[in-house]
Amino acid sequence: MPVLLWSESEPGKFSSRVQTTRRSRFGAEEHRPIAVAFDREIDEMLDTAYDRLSRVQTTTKAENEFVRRWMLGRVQVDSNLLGSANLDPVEDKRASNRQILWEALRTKCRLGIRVDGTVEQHWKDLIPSGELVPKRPEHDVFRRGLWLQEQDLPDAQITFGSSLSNANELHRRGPSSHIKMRQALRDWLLTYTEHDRATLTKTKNFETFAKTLAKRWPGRGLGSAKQPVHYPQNELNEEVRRVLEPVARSVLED
Amino acid sequence: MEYHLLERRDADDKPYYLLTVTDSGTYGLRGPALSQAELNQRGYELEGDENWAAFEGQGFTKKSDDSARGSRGQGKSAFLYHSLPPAAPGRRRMMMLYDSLLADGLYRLGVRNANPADTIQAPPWENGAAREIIRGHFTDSTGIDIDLSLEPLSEVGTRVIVPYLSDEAVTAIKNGELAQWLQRCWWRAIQTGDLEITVVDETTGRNEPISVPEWWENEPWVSAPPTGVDVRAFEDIEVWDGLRIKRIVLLYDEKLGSTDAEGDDAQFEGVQLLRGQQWIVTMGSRQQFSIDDIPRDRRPGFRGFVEFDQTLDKELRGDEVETPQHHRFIRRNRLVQAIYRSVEHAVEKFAAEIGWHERRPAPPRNQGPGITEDVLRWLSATGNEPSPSARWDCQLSLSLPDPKVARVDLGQSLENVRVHVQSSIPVPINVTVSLEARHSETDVIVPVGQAEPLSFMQGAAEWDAGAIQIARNARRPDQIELPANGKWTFTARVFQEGQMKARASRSIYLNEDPPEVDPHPLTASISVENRHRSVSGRERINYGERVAVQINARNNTPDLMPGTFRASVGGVEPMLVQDGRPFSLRGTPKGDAADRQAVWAGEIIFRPIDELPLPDDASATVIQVEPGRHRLNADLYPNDEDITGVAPSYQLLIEIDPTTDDGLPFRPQEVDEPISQWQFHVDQETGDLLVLFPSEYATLRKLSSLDEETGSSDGRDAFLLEITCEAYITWALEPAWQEGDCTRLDALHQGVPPGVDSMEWEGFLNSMDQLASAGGGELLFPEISRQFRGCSARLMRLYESSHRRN
Repeated sequence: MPVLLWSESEPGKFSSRVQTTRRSRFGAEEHRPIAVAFDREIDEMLDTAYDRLSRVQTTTKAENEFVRRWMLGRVQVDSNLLGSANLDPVEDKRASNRQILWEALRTKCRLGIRVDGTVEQHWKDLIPSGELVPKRPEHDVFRRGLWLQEQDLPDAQITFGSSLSNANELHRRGPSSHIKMRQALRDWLLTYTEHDRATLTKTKNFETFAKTLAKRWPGRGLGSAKQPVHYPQNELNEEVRRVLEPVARSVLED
Repeated sequence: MEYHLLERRDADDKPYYLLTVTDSGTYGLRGPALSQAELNQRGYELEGDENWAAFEGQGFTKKSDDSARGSRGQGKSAFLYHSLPPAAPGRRRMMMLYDSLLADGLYRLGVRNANPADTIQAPPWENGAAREIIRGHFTDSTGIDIDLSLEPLSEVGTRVIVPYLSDEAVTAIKNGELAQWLQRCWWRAIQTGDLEITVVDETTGRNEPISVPEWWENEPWVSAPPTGVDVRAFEDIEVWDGLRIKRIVLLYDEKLGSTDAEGDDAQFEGVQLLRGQQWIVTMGSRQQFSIDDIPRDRRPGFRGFVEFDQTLDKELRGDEVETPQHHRFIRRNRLVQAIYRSVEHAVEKFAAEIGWHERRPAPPRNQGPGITEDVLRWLSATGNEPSPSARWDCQLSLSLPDPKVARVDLGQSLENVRVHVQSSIPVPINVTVSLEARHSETDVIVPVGQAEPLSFMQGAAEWDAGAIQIARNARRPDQIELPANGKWTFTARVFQEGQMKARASRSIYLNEDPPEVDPHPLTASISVENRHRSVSGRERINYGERVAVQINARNNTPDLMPGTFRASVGGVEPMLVQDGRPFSLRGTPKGDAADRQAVWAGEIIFRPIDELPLPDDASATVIQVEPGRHRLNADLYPNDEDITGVAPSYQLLIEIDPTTDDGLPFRPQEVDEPISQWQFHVDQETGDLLVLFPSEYATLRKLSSLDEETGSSDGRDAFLLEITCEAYITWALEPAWQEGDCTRLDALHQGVPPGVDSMEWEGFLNSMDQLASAGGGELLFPEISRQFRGCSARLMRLYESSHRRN
């Protein structure tokens, strides 16, 4: 995957270098034409993202954050960025090769730099200021957005109670973050009234559920061989209900 | 091979250039032209002579092609990269044409376009149609018009035509840069007469045959070198078991000037490594060798090259050894490291012989972690035989007076003593089997018996030693005399042609109850064997390779242990290999060492995730994964809920090489912090395991200051040897202590490190096994500490004695 990594050596003075996971005989610059074409597509995606995100209307700040993050993921899918003709249909679409794409996206937002060298200040608003440089690659906002949008928005909102903290809590818990688990959580929460759901998805309570699930399906050690992904959805739903029900009862009784 | 630069003019009379590269005297591009769908269907596997399809494909393998290694499309990419045909504004196009004449008269012309889409002309033009285009113009639906005006090939062979050649390439041809590059790559093949290359600039009429560089003319290592030139040839050097360097030739000529550009990778200045007569990489005079061996003022005049014998040459063609672009060897690879060491040794010898060492200062203090790497490499050779070897298995079974306790009293007998041997060798063989008993405290050895040569039937043989009575004064053949009470270990060893192939042990306690240790009731391990790997890069598994996996368990209780297990492989989307499969493990008498029992054995073939699913292979599980580190995880749950389950795990490197040097388990790092003698630390960025040790540690500081006085590194090396052995034992045993995972421990049982007596190695393994059990039991710290120190001391002794022998 060849991308342009932009930098600003002094205020207003931008330059880019090509970063790629492809093999090069003559250095990464060999792939600059493709990286430039791809950077143009990123510009289009970021414009669309800004346009959509600026129209988001929600009742609470927390919900606003959640919906914006979901939308940042969905725009990536809608723009077909990863299906771009500028990318190798096999090599560039590997998850392990996407690291540099997240970095390129982040840098473009931070600098607001377009492929033609002009500056788009409002791209900075696409990512929270506190998350410009994630401590770990999996914390990247674009990557998390992509993960979040695997569920449709209403489903994701039920699963996490429209809370980004809840989503992050589950995302970092390896096997429990799988889409099948999120669907199972949604189905389980829907068995409760809206009022109870609001209680169960409070950050502190949701954290307890996430920990319980991680204990049942650890990422390593005993119990890690069979993970949520390996269950048929109905069996997983049943197992999630069995594991979480006692915890939920005690939460609701308190 | 001929490179021709030709000038053409477009409709507006603007000049553009074509480069043709013609390879004659070959077979041409044979075989059918296959469509993408057909290539997919074949899993990108082609027959050895299907060159047309191979040339048009990307990332293929050939079934029977082990001599001519391609670059998996990199050569084509280089041609494409230098083609700049007209394209829409802001877009970049690339294309190349290629024609080929076969011995049967078939003439074909193909076209490849790249960017935005990688397409080929399907089907290619043939015979008359192909010749017509070659003689005239090539046009396509995008409006491109290339004036080829070439003569069709008249000799069997192939020609690549790069239209609209980039300015960079035109310049390189006109200023001779291409010719220089070709000389660096191919001089040796030209010298031996296997290749002729000419670069012709038809725009100026300049015709430049590529020649052998002046210093290698007339093979100066064979004939007498000119006056003032020093030449040495080091020939037939074994770098690995059976793999040899054919020759290392080193030359110094004070009249030679610098040929390499400052700042670039070395080309001629240094020692060129040639594989298949092609230059792959240069160990640069400046970059690779110390100033003691090649003084600064001698570097411009120093040259060298290395050629390999056929077997090693072939071994070096693997992806784990050489990059697909043929421009370097992968330094992490053990074989490559061995070659580099041989060359460094030769250069050192050369430097000493011609007097460059005269001004050499006293040897510097050893700053690096050399001894740690050496110990770990020595240990990692355990079980890593340099060539695929036969698999052996041996079991020693016997019936005790009380089947649940390994206690035998004087006068009692061991009944039904049998040694069962299995081998994967497909031809009839004979083996001998010996049985002896060894006292754990005194090391007294008592021979028990030796079988007559056994013949194998269908890969198996058995020696029935019958009953053995423990007697005070043994008189009969079925009696033995054990001179002390306590633990005795009976070991059966299997020998073929004098070499030990397998062994198995059982322990008894004479006239004593076995001690009350409480080991993990259940332990397990995973063994993985890549059936395709030979000497190089054993850890790496490539797509399509068949990997034998075995999940093993030991039941440390005297009772039969039934249970179920699961296993999965993968990263983000792991695949379940087994789910809820039952197992049943024989019990182990108290005091005896549990034998390893296979819970599941099977074969796995890894494939890329983007490949179409292949037809089911009944003999193997096919798993589609991305390249990277993946874990094979197993969960073993005994039916008895009071017994904790175990979860052995094995790291698989799919299509990648290990990140740590040589795939070693850890590397040392000296730190300024006041930490304990040593401690493990995981590098957050790379995930590598480090063994940190403090530079201010009192013993190290004292030893280092003594080293400075004596000008040696012996003291520091001794310190590093000790912490390496301790760290290694901890690394091998920690999963066993924590999770009952004996995967690392079992790997040590698979062989014997070089230069170590197998009996001594067995003693070390026994102490490791004992320590593994102690970790899960209730032994007090002083006893565990004593055993740990004992293991470490044994390991250090083995390492030192093996190196004295070598």
